[in-house]
Amino acid sequence: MGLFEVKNLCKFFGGLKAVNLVDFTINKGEIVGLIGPNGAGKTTLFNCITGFYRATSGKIFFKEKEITNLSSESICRKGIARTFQIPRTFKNMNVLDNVIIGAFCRTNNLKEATRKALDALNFTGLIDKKDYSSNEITLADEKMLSVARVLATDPEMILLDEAMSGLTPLEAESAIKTIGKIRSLKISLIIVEHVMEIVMPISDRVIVIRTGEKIADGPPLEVSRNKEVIESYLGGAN
Amino acid sequence: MIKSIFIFNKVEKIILLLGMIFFILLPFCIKNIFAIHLMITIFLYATMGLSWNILGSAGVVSLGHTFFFGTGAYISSCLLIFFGINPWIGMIIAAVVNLFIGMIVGNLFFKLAGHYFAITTIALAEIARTIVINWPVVGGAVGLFLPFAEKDSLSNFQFPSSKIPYYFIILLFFCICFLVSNFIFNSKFGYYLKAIKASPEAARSLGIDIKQCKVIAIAISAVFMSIMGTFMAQYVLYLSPETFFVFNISLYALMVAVVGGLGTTWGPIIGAFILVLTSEVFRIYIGGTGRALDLMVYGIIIMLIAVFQPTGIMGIKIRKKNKIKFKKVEARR
Repeated sequence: MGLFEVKNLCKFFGGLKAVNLVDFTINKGEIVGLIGPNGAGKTTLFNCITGFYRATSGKIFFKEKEITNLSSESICRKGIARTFQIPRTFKNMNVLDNVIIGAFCRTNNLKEATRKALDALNFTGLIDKKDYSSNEITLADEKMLSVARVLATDPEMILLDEAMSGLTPLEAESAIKTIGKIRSLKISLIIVEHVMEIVMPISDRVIVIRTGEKIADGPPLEVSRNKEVIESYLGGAN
Repeated sequence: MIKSIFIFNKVEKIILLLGMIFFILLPFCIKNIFAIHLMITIFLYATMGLSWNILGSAGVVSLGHTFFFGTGAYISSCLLIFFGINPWIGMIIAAVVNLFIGMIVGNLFFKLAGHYFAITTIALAEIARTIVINWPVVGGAVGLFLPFAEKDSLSNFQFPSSKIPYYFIILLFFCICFLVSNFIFNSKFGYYLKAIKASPEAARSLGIDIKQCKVIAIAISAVFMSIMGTFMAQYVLYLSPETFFVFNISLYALMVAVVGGLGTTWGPIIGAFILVLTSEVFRIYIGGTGRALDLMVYGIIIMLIAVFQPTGIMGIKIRKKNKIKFKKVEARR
């Protein structure tokens, strides 16, 4: 059994099957890309895992304990943290304070939280901008800030929801570098992207979902040759 | 723990020290009773603002803080009138009762989001007022007089001959609440409240239990407000729904905090000075009939704040500080 396991997870909105019988496993320190066309149910899957939605059926295990339908705050405290498609920065505080909020997940002491936050900012390369108001930073920095914030919570697994979309190629490159560095911390990663070129080089494994169902799961090279995957991205050759 | 109550930067420490000396010496220099009364009002509103501020910093808008104010006053005073319980003890009992009421109210009402919560708090205060008006035991609409003491006594919380002891008591209460809220805003809890205000989803994803935080905030807020209610009752020695369960009290608590600067420790005291002084100036120069004018000026102040300075007076300072830091960072590059 891996670090994290999803078993037959379903999420229905009325008749719409947004996530349908998805199951997969994540091992410790593994980087897994989760890809699929728009509306495939990637973000819904994230929301189910992190407690923002209640799963219709199915089970989720983390470190061999069931975490299905726990509240998102307790899931975060257990060690699964996520970022959002829209960064959702705390705009009423500066960059450092944003990260301190994350660090407070494991400590009650402001000094210790600040130290942890500075570590996380160092790691993500935002240390120069720690005193900036979070209104003043670019989208790329905002996305990195949300990664720093999540790192400060001392997670064992991070779910990145399109951390690199909307960035210029140059910004995306440095973002990929940072994310690659996370591997050295032995933190598992699930990366949602719909741009294949970003996910393929950094992932150990790629999971492809389409209309809520898992259609492929394997090493990037193998998946990119999968007929069904090519069909869903390029359209079928009926 | 004790150290972190006194987290202030150098400028703040100096202002605090000078302010304390000034306000302690003030009643010995001014013999004008009205001026003392004015200072009491300012500190009363400032403390109410501090109370509102704690909840407000989480982005929760309460328009019914008079509910806690009134229940605090009525509980302690009724204990005094009917059971002869010392008002100090009554104050503590009222505060504890309000702590639990705050938690219950929070648990019930925080299912409602935003404006719906605000509306519900108005309803809560109005219900309390209607109950009190129609309840003869607690004086109904006419109200109740508190038993008068013959002479000044700290233990009975009554000073018929002078306002100065009241001034020092409210100053003490204000200082305690000020330090408590400073402690809160420099602690995990305060950071969490601000995070909840900025983005509830992000807050949840970072392990913040939103409801729990809000419930604690409203409970603390209710305790402050309750203590102010008891103080006011002992100050005017007359209990009536028209003094303690009025929408104006809720409004004052809100305005003091918003004008001064939401989520800042210093905001409410600045807001209280501005609002009380403007209203008193209008009353002095235009007289009793000019009373509506100060309300109009409040309206204008609120509009100006909302349009030009949504972060309140303290926001000006914070913005400046950020600018300086920004320049420093730029220069270093």
